[in-house]
Amino acid sequence: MIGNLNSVLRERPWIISIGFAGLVLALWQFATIQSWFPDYILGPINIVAEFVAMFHRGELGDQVGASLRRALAGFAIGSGIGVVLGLLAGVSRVFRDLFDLTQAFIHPIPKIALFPAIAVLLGFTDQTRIFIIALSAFFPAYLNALNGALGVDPRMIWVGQNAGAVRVRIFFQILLPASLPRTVVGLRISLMVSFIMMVATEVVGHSNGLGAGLMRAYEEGVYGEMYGGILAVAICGVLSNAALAMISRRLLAWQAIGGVQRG
Amino acid sequence: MIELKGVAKTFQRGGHVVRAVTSVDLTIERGEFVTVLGPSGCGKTTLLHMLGGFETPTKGTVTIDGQIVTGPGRDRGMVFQDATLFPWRTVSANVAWPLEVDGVPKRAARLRSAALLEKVGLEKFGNAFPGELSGGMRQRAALARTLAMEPSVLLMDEPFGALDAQTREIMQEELMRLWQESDLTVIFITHDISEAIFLGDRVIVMGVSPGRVIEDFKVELDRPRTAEARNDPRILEYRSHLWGLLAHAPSPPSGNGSQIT
Repeated sequence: MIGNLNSVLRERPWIISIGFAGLVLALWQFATIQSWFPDYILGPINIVAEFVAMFHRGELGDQVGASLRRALAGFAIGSGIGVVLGLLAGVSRVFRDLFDLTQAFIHPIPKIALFPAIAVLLGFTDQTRIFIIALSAFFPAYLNALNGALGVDPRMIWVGQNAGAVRVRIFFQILLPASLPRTVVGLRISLMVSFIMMVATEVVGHSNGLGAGLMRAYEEGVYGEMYGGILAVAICGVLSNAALAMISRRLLAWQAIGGVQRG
Repeated sequence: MIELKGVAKTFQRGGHVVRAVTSVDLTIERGEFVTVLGPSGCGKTTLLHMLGGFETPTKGTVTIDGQIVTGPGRDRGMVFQDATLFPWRTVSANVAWPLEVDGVPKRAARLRSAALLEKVGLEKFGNAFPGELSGGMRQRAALARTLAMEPSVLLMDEPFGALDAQTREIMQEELMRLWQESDLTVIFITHDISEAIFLGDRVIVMGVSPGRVIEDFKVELDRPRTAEARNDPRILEYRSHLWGLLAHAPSPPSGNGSQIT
């Protein structure tokens, strides 16, 4: 019987994941029903109910729209530039030296610390927020693309030069795909960072979006809406991460074939 | 005709100068099959890279039909030890790639690629990804991709070095057949004495520290050469002669002396 159970679990590992998450949620719900927690901590069922109510009132849709637009715009700009510059720095000594010191100085600064400085220039506007998100998304994309490009077998590039391919073609048809496995890792981190910075930049200054909604709910003491907002942020994050994971699995399908097999 | 005149290559490595190749003079006629034999560190790969235009000589010149080599070109097709196929493209798309670079329309490129794959015995594997192929099949595909450039010179850097003994012999015979049907000049690097003899019209023997040519050895086995040639009694003679040359050449000062790659 035990052996049978083991093999069932091995074939369906999601039973364990779902089971554990369910257990945690059940305990949490139980604890709130028993009033073990203070009133301002809601149980999972109440949070979902709040979330559904907010959704029906229509306020979530606008918030999600405004937030996603910022997060995805910042992500696209920052990680796009990051990947291109990272790959260039990976193949060109000159580019690497050019960016190295600047990059090393800006990277450790928590980008949210620059928010007021940029706001002086552009105000507490969407541009400022997208700029901060883009700046944060830049670094993981840049560093991973750089390392991806550094790890490309130079003979792959030689194959391209041998065929007389121009630099642009070598960049897009050899360097980019060859460093893609590593680049994609950077993109996924960039996306996560974009969501963190999305909330962080919306909390400050008069804004709309999920982060602003959270903050308003907190200030007004409407804790149900606060938790509903947090759930919305989580769902947005999970869905966009899943979308990116799906795209990268398709782009990297060749990697799963054969893989390490050699000789 | 390929001519190397006083070709030398030095590298700066950690503050001191490594003399990879010193003063090589060599003439290779059109259509010749030349094997370059030597232990690791003798500069044979560096020599090949200079012929390919991937590295430039520190001294001397490499000329092909009177033209000084200044960079890579489609006239000199390179085949590396690991096939260096693009793992994200199918085998047929790999072979078609140099044609696409040359501006051949996609359909025509695919047709040409199918013909080349048939030539190397891979006609059934055009839709496979390189990761699905065995080492020998990957080398065949890489060879087809290089042939797609229609080079006049094939530069091969220990292409069969990572294959098992049996596959290696089959590949050698196939390469012989391909070369005999073409007017290609082949410069083939190896550390395997039997391979150097079986394939080459000439065996250029290189020695270490510094890397240099110690003998330019003529192989007088009959052409066309097939598997039969492996039983030629002269091969034993050649083997012991070349073995003697390699054994008496000074070994590298330290480290990888015993590892011949």
